[in-house]
Amino acid sequence: MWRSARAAVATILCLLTGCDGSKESGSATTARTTVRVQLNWVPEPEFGGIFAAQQDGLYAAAGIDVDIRKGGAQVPVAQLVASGQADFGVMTAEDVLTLRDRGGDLVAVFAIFQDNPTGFLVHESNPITTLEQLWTSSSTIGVDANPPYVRLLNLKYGGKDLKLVPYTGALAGFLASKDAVQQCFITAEPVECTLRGVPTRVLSVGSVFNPYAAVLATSAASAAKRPDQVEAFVQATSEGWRRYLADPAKYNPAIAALNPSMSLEAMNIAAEMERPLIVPADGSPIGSMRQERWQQLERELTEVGTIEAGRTPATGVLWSRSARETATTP
Amino acid sequence: MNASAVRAVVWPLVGIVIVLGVWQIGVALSGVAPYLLPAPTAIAHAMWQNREMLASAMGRTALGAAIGFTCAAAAGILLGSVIALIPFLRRSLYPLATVLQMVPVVAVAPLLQLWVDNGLPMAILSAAIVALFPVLAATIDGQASVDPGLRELFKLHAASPLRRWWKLDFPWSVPTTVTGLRIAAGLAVIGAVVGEFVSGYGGARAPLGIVIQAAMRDARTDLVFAAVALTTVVGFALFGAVSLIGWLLVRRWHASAVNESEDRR
Repeated sequence: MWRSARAAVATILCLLTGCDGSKESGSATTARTTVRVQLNWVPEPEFGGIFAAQQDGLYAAAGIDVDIRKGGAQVPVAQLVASGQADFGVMTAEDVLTLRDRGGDLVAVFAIFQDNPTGFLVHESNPITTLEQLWTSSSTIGVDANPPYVRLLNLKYGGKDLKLVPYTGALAGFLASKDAVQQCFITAEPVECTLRGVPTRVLSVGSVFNPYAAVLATSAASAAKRPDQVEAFVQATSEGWRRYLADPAKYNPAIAALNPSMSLEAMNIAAEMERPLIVPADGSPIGSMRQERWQQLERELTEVGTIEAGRTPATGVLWSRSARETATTP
Repeated sequence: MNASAVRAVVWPLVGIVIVLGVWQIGVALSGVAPYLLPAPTAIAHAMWQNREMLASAMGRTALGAAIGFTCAAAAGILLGSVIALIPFLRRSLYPLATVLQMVPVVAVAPLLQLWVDNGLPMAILSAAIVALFPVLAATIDGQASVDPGLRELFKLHAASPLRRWWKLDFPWSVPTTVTGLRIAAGLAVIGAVVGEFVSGYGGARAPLGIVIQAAMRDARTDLVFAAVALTTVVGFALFGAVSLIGWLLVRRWHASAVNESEDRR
């Protein structure tokens, strides 16, 4: 009964925040299982490898039916995954460590972005060219409510005169005002602006805050029960990314069909731009993660007060083959 | 305080205590994760720990809702009276006014952001938009349902339309309008928070809508509940103030107030 109560609470959360839970899953009658993958944004090239793996039947070949659920600005992906409402979720690395600190049982299985594609979008005519100039100005900035990088910038530069307003994902406000500044993914909004003939400049956040920016995570307890499935999902996703980056134009039409707000042309450009952020510079496989990057993030989140020091150390955040072996040893 | 007034306060309190008790015990027994559903004591703790921030956020949201509500009340009563007084307008504008009710403020809020400043102006406008229709509709209905016999009497005495409005239509409509105002009071708070969701200021000037968003992205569900609870406090305060003013206006003569005091005897 309490399990169903827990599910009900998560469902209510989902309803309140408008995430797409319309597709019923779990209807598999054979050995095939349906895996629910919750995205944290609408379908865009930043999820290209997942869509490519599905389009090419890589998940199906591994015995997994994948139900990809689109996200939005307020979808609590980390909570949905930790509570079992989704099997895997795309979230930021800071979301993973934050929910672990609150008692959520998450492990990271795959990093989509090695480097942070987040930045601040300004019009080219704007005299501001650095984060320091921006943070000591009196600009109005459309940005998520108090994310860790805003807190870090506040610690570094003050930001007392800034006017921070919610980031809604819409470009209309930005296009309407020459002084407008808003957060962006360098592969998304700047491309749209360029295609509309609006010259812009991006101040990358990566120089002050560079965690893995989009991570596939799952619940540690459930991963321990189905290590083979996690392994198969990771392998298929990794191959999906390899194929997507090799030929994004093959997969983008299907993604564009799911997202009317971003043109196919923009998606093709975005796929080219995101490649250097996704392929590890040291030659390791796509999706690889290093423990020390997680520990650096842990230090930063502790510094800005998002998490409490030592409550849930980041040492256990990576799902690994050794974890799998421990789990399967009787 | 007489016995009936005590009853009016005690019974709702008993209800609240029962609900909170069941909630607290349910959370403890189920072991549901606090990031999904925190216990009432955890919410109270979060509220106390963040009391200064929450108090200033509540003040900002209350200000936006109250100003938006006041604008909607004034505009609704004025417009409603004009529409009720002129049959042509009643036929042509009233259907248009109902369209106003159908507009989902959540959908138009990003648009409004293009036209007014961020922060308080946006919260006021958003609150006023959702609060306008109930006042307008109640005023029109109230003034359109004046006893025809009394209307005849005014006609017999050759009263001007304006005089008839001031002496008959307006006083007649007050109880109905107050009902509309009460509905509008609750809606104004919702409107203000929706406005804050799209353009409330972050940082030290954050209203409750932004506190909710920031707490949500921080997986601070206890703080989300605390902030949501405070939005209902703002709603109750506005509702209570309107109810009190309404009661003061009609207590001497209107059946709703007279019957209630009869019941108490």
